[in-house]
Amino acid sequence: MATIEVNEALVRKVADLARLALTDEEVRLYANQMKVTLGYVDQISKVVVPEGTEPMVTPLEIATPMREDRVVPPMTTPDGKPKMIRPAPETVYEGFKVPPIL
Amino acid sequence: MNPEWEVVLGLEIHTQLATNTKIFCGCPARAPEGVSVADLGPNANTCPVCTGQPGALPVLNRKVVEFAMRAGLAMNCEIRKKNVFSRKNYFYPDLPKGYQISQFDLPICEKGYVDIEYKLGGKEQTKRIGITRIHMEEDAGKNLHMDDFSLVNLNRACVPLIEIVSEPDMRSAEEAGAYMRAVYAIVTAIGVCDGNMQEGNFRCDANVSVMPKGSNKFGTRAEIKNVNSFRFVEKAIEYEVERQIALIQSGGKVVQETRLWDSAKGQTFSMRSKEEAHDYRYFPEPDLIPVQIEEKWLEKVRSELPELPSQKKTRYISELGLSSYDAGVLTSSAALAQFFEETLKLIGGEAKASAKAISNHLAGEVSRLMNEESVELSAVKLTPKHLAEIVKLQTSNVISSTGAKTVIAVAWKSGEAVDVIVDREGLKQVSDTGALEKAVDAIIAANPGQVAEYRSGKEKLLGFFVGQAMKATGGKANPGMLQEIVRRKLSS
Amino acid sequence: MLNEKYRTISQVHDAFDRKELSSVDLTRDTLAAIRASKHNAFLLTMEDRAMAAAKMADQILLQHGKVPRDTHPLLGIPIAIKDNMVIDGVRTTCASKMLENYIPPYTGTAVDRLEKAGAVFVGKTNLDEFAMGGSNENSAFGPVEHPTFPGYVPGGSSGGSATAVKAGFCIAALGSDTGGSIRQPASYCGVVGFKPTYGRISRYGLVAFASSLDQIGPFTNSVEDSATLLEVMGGHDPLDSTSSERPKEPYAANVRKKLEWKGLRVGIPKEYFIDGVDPSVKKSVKEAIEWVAKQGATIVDISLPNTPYAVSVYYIVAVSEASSNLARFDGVRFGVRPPNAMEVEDIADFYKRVRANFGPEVKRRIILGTFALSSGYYDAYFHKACQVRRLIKNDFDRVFKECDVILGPVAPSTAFKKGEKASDPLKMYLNDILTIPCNLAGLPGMSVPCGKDEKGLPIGIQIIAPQFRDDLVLNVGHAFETGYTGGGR
Repeated sequence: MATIEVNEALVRKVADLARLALTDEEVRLYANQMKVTLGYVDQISKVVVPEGTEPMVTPLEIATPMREDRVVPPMTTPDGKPKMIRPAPETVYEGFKVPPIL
Repeated sequence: MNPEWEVVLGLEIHTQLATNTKIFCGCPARAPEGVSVADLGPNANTCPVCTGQPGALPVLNRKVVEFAMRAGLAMNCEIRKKNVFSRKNYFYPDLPKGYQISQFDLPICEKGYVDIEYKLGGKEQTKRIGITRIHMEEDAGKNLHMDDFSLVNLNRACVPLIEIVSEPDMRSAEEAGAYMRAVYAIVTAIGVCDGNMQEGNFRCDANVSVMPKGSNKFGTRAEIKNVNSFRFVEKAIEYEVERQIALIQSGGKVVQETRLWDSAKGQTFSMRSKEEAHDYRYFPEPDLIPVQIEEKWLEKVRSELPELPSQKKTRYISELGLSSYDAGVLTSSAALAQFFEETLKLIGGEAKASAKAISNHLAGEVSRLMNEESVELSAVKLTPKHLAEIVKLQTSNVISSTGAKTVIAVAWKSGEAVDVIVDREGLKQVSDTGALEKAVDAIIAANPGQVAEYRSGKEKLLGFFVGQAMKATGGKANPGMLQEIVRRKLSS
Repeated sequence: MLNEKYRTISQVHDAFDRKELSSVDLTRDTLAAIRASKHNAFLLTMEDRAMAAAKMADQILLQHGKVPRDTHPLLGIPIAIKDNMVIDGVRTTCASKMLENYIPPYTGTAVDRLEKAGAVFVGKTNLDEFAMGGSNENSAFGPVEHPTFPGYVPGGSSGGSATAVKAGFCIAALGSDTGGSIRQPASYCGVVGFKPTYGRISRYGLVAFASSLDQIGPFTNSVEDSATLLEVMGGHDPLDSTSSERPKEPYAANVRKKLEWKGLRVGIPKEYFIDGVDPSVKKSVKEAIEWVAKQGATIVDISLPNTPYAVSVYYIVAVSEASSNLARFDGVRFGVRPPNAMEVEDIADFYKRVRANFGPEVKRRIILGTFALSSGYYDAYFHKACQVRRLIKNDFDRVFKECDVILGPVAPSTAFKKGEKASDPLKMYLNDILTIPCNLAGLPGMSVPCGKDEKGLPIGIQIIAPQFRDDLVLNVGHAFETGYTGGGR
């Protein structure tokens, strides 16, 4: 793994993917910090991994947990509305309100 | 089709699975009995898991895995016993977690095929279309667009889907339509999909590209998303092919993009407002343990696989004497096949005898009405009981085939008993030979000139006499009998 | 203050039995202490719910005459919950402006089990924002003060919970540990902090940071109490696919079983005693190990050669998972929307305005994680890191053939002064080098106080056992805690 070019363009691109708005100041700061951090974590490129080493995604080696296809009734608040809209910032007719899409 | 160009088509079909609950939570996957999904209040069908509340976790529905296996086996796929869920990361308001749990590099089914039948230049063709993969995933919610805001409804979020991806093996819109129909017939026949296209149970994305004939380098493809009818998929593909050819011929380049079909305008249009880089950053879902399917379970699913449309079609032809066309129509959807078989059972007796009459109506009047009204059989009031009685009346000459069609059309909307409709519409045929002979005698007596012409060889005039006699009986004469009486009397 | 007299569950329950204390008195006193404190250990006090639970506890006590320990092992015990675990109807902020007004519509399993066992929840404790940090300086609602050393950090990310237990604001507190966030603050503050085997306690209701690393665990003043809490919370949860179906053991009953030191093979990893570890920490831990040897245990020198890569693996895997887990914070279904959020041309800008609620450390990790998963970098970073993670796990599997349990330091240093490491993220990350391997491998790990440095700041010793040998960690911990007289603890 060649040390990749950590520059402000990369930080802006990644921030955009993650829907984070950064000021120019922040872009500079994160670019520098990312350079340092990546400079450190890059050490794993030197690790020789034996052929066929399965990447480890979870510490558990168990049988697939599955559940039966049985309905659990959705929760409602005392006034009969769906409970899951209770924390919502803005709703209209019990739909989550967002800016117009497309 | 422009002969200088070759069309390359691949279809991605999203099928909602007919399970009771969603894929990762216990919320109902369908509306309760008697309620249409569209009538459910927004977000009435949700829980912490499918609304992506902080701290909520997915738990896999066993039935989803079973249905995915069934679909894979029915489409001749290899079942991957150890398959893995992955996160597909992107931001969209109907995607509550900001990622979709899907399958990426290790899907549950791979390397299958579906055999299709279609017409090219009037000739029946068959072709094998490869299936690259079938994988399980969760559906997103729905966005409702108002004037200056949108509303997100998560009732549909987390409903289980299988995505069936074809190889780019299709070379015409007809093939694509046939493939889509064949897959629809299969998934409904094996019971994994309810088949209600109006409610979005079965959605198709078409990848379309063109290349000069003889070339082996595929052109850039555009994706037409979310086409929900067989007819539209063919139309959309035809339009898109023309568009791409015209674009290339005028010096332009086809852009890899997502397009939508506008059925009102009969055009595809681009969905993107700007260049969008889709980096989904797939990685294995750490909240779910890889799916491990035991051999025993796989064998059980395999042995319990319901009759496939192709098998059913063969049976209808060989055991019931139906034509290939009729058998094809009946097996094009599980709903139609089931209606047919129930009607057959209700009539009883020799199956072969009534099969033809029933299939005539299903392939004829019933299919016509379904297409005209864009409606599923489950939504209309006509039942197998109705059709069984109608066919019985036809067989015993009480009503004519025209009369039968009328009863079908009325029962379709009203659901009334067949005898009530027959009485009210006055559809009882006159089959009393005495009355018919009298009517024919009268016509013959009133038209001596035509009688003479007929007897001297103008056989075509038979129709005139039959028509006149029919008119005289107010359209109620049993046509078969009438014709026979007229012919007999004219020849004597 | 009552909290100086009653530090453990058995002390409280014995006092209940002898009728010298009631749950209402204890709770009222505790709540008053919290109100008066300047530690900023709590983001929310749950006065009404606590008093109601305390009253109920006293009722049950009256009915039974004595504490019904079998059915209500936590009856009337004041417990604090780290503010990244949801309780239906109780504000949960994760110490972030993003969730400043979030009232969850459901309760997490572990927390629910505590409450059903009779626990009295006194409040939600402060933490590093979204559990990302090692000093509790990353909270959007102010840092937490060390319980006994003003001006020092309590450690993180569960700084609030560690402080709450040490300072007597509760008998026990819940924390979460992804790379050391229970064990390190336990070591810094001088309390017992336990991270169970991954999958032992349900994560349903724990706001996810890194899904394959997070575990809920208890802070207590005694190892015995740790066992009680594990027994109440642990066990299979059908709502968490990563919770183990392996049956729970009677941890509370077994913890007090006499440990046979003779024949116990104790592994000492040479990589945990490198130069980067403070001399005072090394000294304290080595003295503890010498005592263990004197009790008859066999000391085995072991090597975990991939230890140097642990921090790198963690800061790729954990941030990658986190970048995805935090995507749900988009202001659509919950969270704080800035006043101008709806006035955008493009929906992408709506997201950006809402996600400006994240603090700098959270943003930093999201950026790093998004990068490590992105096209072109996935293979070299995320995929490779997962392979090295396997090697780290293999190291442990191998050494546990030569030893039964591992002992070592918890953190390279004792608590540091506020602001000392805040500006250097990498320096902060390297603090976790001794705790991270445990999370990567999914093993149980505990910090038990074993000494002090020259300033008097607490030092903890780390006990690590094989997967699902939580019982062994508890046994060794209890035996050490009750037997060791050194360290000036």
